Amino acid sequence: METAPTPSGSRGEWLRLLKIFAVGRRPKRTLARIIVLAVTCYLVFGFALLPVRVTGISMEPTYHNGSINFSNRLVFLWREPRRGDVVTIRYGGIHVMLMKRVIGLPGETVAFVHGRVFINGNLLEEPYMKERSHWNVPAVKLGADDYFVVGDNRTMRWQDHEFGKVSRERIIGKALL
Amino acid sequence: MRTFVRVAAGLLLVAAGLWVWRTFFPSPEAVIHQRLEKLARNASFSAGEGTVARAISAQRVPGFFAPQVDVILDFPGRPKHTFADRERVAEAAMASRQGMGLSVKFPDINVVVNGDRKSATADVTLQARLAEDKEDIIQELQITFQKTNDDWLITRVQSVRPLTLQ
Repeated sequence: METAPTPSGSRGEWLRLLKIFAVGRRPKRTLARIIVLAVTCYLVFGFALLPVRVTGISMEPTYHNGSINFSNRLVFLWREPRRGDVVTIRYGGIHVMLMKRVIGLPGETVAFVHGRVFINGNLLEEPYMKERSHWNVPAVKLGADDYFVVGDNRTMRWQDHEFGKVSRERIIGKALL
Repeated sequence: MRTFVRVAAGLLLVAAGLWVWRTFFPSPEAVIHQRLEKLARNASFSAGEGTVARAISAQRVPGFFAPQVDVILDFPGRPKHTFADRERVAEAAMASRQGMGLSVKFPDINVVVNGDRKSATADVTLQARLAEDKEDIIQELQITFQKTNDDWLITRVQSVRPLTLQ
């Protein structure tokens, strides 16, 4: 014999479904999953892949003002920064950082002549550059722990662009995207 | 289940105890951290703030500095500012109130207290914006503190450039 569900029975069914939707069939397991997920997110996005929002135009056209990226802090545990890497550089901490491209490696001499970059006197090919500049910057000799970083947007005056020698300990991570 | 509840309650109790201890007996690092945050709040003002409110907050700024303080601010693309005493800091704080608005934040504060427990150095990131500007001024500052009469006062502020051409 079949009976139609009573209004109160229907409400009970809805509450049961809502409970399953909210906390799952096994609430303890759901709680454990939530804790694991929260800890994983905290570790990943707090230490390994730092979310960053690009502000300013110094990395145009590669990265636009307002775009979102991640700073991969793990990559430089295994290797040192390479030429062409886009890296994040700390100020007093990691909440606000600079984003620049590495063009000079330790021990090298970097110079800008009519917008072209010369490393130890040899012209550096920069395929990521869309517009040439007219920068003339005297040669800078890098120490054993120094890298030379610069933005991709060289259309602005070099006096208005933050670039130059940076010590290795300030380089936090590599842009992921 | 009972064991779980007991452990959780114990952990909560320990956390509450730590919180109470830190609130009533803050470490020098925490005190300096709080002072810098208070300084940022007092240095900031908005366009909607009245003249009196602006003057009151500006007058609080010198109180964070020692009478003899060296302030050397050299921001890219801006004129260099050097102050040698607290009176100049007060004048600069009042002069800044003539603008449309100023927002000052220290998103990163790293404090190292020296072994004598009487002096400390803070590496901070300054994030400031004048109301009339489109972009933030971002600069690293090295701030030296000296403990005087149970108060941590700023004795030196120097801007640090992470990138150099020298």
